[in-house]
Amino acid sequence: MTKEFLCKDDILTPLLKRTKTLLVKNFNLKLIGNNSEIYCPDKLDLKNLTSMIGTGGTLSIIFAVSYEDKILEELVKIFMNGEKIDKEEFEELKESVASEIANTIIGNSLHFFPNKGRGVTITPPITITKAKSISKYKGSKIATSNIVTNFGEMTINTIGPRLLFVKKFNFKE
Amino acid sequence: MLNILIVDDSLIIRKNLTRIVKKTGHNVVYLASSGVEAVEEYQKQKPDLVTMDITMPDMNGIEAVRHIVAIDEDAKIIMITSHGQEEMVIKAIQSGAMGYLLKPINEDKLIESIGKIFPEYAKETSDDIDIYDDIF
Repeated sequence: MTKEFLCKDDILTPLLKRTKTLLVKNFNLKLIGNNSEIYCPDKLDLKNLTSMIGTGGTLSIIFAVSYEDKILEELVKIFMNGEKIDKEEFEELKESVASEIANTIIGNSLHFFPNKGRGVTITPPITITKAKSISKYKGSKIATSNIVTNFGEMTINTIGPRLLFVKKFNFKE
Repeated sequence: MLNILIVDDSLIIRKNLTRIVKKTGHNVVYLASSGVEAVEEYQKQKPDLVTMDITMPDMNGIEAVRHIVAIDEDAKIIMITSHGQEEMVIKAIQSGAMGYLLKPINEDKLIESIGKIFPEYAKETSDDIDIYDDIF
């Protein structure tokens, strides 16, 4: 069994599945291509805006959900349901939507993590803009997957201790 | 018309909920972005209903519910959160919340939940709310 397979089964598969459902079913975006390749790079190449959420308790992982401008702009319009938005507020809303989408996909997926996510807590999101990349430290592991839609791309990244990716999870009951 | 206190640290969710509340003919009395602010404003505004997020800075939504229920045991609170864990649902209900809706916000489900708490505002619906029915 490969490292990627364990990582994919336990965390990334439910996250990707939930993200795709959300984008298609709730926001009417179209997915382009296969959208399910998971790879483990040494460095995260970030898009224009990234929302980061940490989990604690029985699972310690950092999630970084990174968005191209185009997909965020479309999501803001969908959230605002046709309401007029001025330029300054639009930028603020982009950050809020980035955090909200990350929070929703991670929060919704907890029930589908090992042990139904029991004892897992999540932090409020932090948004970073214009960052180029995040490099992993020795002993950590990054797993990432890109989702391509008709309104641009987003990536779902998990950063955690290497052990989480090479051994089965040992959740507290 | 109900007076509703909206509690969420997300700007887009506060805007979204405000739109839905106004559309359904109710009134937003205050928009709070943390649990601490929610407890303070509950005492000032005395709303008919509170919509409460869980993951927030300062004080999370579960703690805020406990504080509000300690102040007013008849408080009507609906959790609106991304947390899909069963244990979180149980904690929220045990703390005194009367409903639990999963984000993304579904307008019909919110209206249905309000109708279950305040039957005079109920609209005819056929199915019970299933908090997991829109996951996967």
